[in-house]
Amino acid sequence: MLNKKKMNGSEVIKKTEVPGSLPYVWKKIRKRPLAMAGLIFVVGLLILSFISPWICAHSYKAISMREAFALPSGNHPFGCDELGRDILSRVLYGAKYTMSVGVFSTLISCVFGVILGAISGYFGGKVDNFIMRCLDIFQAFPGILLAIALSTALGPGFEKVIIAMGIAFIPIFARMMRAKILSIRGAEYVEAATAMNCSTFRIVVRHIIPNALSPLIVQVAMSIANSGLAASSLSFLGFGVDATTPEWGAMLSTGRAFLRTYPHLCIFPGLFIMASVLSFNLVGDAIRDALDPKLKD
Amino acid sequence: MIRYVGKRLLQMIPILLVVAILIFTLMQFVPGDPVQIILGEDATPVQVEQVREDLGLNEPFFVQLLNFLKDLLHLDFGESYLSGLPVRSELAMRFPNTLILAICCIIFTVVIGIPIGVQCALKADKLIDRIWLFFTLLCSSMPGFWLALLLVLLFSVELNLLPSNGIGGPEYFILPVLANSIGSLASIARHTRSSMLEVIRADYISTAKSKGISRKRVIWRHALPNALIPVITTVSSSFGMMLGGATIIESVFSIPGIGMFMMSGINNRDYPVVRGCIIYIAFAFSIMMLITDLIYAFVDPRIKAQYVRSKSKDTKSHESKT
Amino acid sequence: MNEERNNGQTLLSVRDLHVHYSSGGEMVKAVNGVSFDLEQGKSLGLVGETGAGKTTIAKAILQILPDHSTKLVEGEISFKGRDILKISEQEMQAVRGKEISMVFQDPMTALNPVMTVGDQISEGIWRHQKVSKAAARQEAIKMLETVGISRDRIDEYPHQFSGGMKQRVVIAIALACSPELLIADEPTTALDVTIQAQVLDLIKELKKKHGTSLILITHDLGVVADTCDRVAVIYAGEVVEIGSLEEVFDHPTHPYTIGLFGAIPDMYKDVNRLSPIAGLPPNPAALPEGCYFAPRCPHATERCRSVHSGLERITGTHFVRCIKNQQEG
Repeated sequence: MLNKKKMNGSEVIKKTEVPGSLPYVWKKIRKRPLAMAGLIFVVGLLILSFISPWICAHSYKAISMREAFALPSGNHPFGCDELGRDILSRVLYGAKYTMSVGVFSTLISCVFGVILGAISGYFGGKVDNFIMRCLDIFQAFPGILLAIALSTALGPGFEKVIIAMGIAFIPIFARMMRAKILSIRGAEYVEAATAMNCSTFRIVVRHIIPNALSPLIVQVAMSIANSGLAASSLSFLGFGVDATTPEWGAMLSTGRAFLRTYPHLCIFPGLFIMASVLSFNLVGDAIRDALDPKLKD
Repeated sequence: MIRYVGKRLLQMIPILLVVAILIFTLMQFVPGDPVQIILGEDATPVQVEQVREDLGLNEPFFVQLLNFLKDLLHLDFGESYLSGLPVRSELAMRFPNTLILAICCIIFTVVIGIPIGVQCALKADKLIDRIWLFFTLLCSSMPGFWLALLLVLLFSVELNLLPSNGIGGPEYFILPVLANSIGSLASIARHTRSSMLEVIRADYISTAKSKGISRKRVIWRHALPNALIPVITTVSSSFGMMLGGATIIESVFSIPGIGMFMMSGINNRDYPVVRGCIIYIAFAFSIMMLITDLIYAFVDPRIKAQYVRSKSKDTKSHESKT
Repeated sequence: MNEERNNGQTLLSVRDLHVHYSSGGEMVKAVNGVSFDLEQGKSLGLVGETGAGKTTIAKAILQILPDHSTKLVEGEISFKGRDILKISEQEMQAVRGKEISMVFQDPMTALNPVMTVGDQISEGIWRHQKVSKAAARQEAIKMLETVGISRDRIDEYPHQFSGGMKQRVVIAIALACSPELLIADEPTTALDVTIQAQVLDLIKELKKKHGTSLILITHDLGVVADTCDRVAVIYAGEVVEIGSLEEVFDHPTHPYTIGLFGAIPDMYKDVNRLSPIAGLPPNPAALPEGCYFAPRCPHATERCRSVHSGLERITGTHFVRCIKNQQEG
């Protein structure tokens, strides 16, 4: 109520005061130390991941059987794995895998989900019915199982995991988009646009998509975290990347055999999975609170 | 209501059928030859050919698919390539383990998660709420399998309190249930909190307060039932996550359930096993969705009214036809 | 404020009530020193624009302001001689619903959607009259019939009722224990015009029957003229003018009150345009110095913008918060 008043008022509205605009979201995120910490962690880790071959004392793939299972020490802060490879270098180098699975698979789900949902919600009728029944089939079993089945069929490979994860989470985006569009389609400003003889395409692009944007952004932020988590489960189960790739889930998968004797093989990669998923979640949370003020006071 | 359930069950048949076809087709693309795995590296080409013929793998794709569907109509999932045992009886033996695991997880999640969410909402923005919020976010960011490993490390290896694999008494389920439900528990707590926060601002809560009834009664009798309506969806989708998570958790804890069965099926290219497992899980999942909708109708009279109304509409249209 | 009293006994007396709450990190001064009295059996209208703090005053009297955002409730609210701001929550629960109850603005959202109307009405009866649930239900049926709803609808849910019917249920809940004071917060705003009259008549009739005192919150001056004995005009969380119905309606004195009268259509006058009050109410998180109405007041002077006027008597029981009148009077 207050916001409305402010917006209608004669005061000059700064960009950062328009709820839903990017500067506004950024301003809100900046005010949350935890979200900022998450953002810095993710960005910092990504940078470290790319420059790690130059800054790490040990190569991520250098095998040294003498140092197999070495416990954390000054030379190897996180210790060494079963082949004597430095875990810190591997963890840093591997960051880009886990993060890019989250980002790229979400991108795939988002693009296809939005298109399908938009078509379904806007045209309705038979098209809607057909798309929704297809999605029903995809949602007849849990997403992670779909991803497992797809990556089994696609065979091994890092990009295959991304595709499998991307396809598995399309229905979530499609359904959200469809629901949002159905609610917007009935809104009066869309009727007004129709009355002004706007083309369907223009209505979808100019009116409907911008208005469906904020729940979409929230969904994307949350989805990156979830996909990252699901992807690490996949490689833990042995799908996707081959065991020599320093992907965190895969590292856990090999480290698991030595859990009882050398737990440090499992602890560090797991910590990093948790920390980066947590970071994405913290940022996502902040974005959601910024875009959805009804959840705050 | 019974009519509605019947209708929904009938609607499930085509979906499951398409799921079956989809899975069958997907499995055709899987790299790797099951026969090679059955016979081992040093099989002669004649042996391989013989086994291929026996398993019906030489037939054209559509004939194989048709045979598979024909069997499926008799609820027959075929025999495992590897053991030769009928998949149906294997599934029937393993499914209870997975189901018990999933149900324990759901109960644990709901019984712990919802009260945490309510308490957070009542203390919204206080320190205790912020701590819980962070902690639940931490929990939902934790990979279930990693938590499983940590729990094994702590309770089985270090403290030697709980068994780390296999099944047996209830103590065998404690670690798997914990590992499999922490994530869902956290998300249910968070969802309950936000839903509760929205509900306690509702006008009818002011009405309830203005009647002079106790705070407790306002919260538990008026606010909570309304706040739980949207949470039901989260609970049912976490049931899905738990069925899916079972795949991972069962292999960590070596629980002979459907998930582990499926993993071994995938690794051995034992297609009948994989197909059977996926169809079983899809069926269990669809039943859960149906139960969810029924719970909705039970909790929310507005949704119940829709069913009743559509039913009376049905009968009316029947009357007008006759 | 030394308001002159009629021979009736004072039921409720609000003195210098302040309510602040936080919203989006800002401190909102919703109610700023409101005082008024209400006599037994009389009715007082609180008039003002949306956001003037009327509902906050009502909720402060019942003490049902949301805990998490309310930062300050100050002043004195004495009900039958006892300051109910100072009593415990337990004691207050015994007052709510039994001695003071409230009808909310929007009947669509004021009823719990997952509880039958019967349960919602009988809940208060059962709480306050310490009777069995069955007896409370009988009482609820009687109440339902009193507000003109047939007894066989007792087990229905709110969504099965129309808007006007829902508001009758809300009134039944509020009057179930025959309270001495009823606060009706815009009871007709959300209803169709034809239903509005019915609901108002129902409130008036029940008020007469039970001798209930009434605080009617509204922005509709017509409703006030129809129902109330006294009127308080609220602006930015303050009383800017208070007096008997005749005093305020026949001699509106505060520029804001005059503005309100200018904004209602008069059937008997042939005017081409209504004259709305220019501008918007001030942001309660950043109230202007001096008179809160000064930025919108057509007669505002430099002095108005710096001096905050007190409430001064002009005639009888008629008080106004405007320095112009002090100079004249």
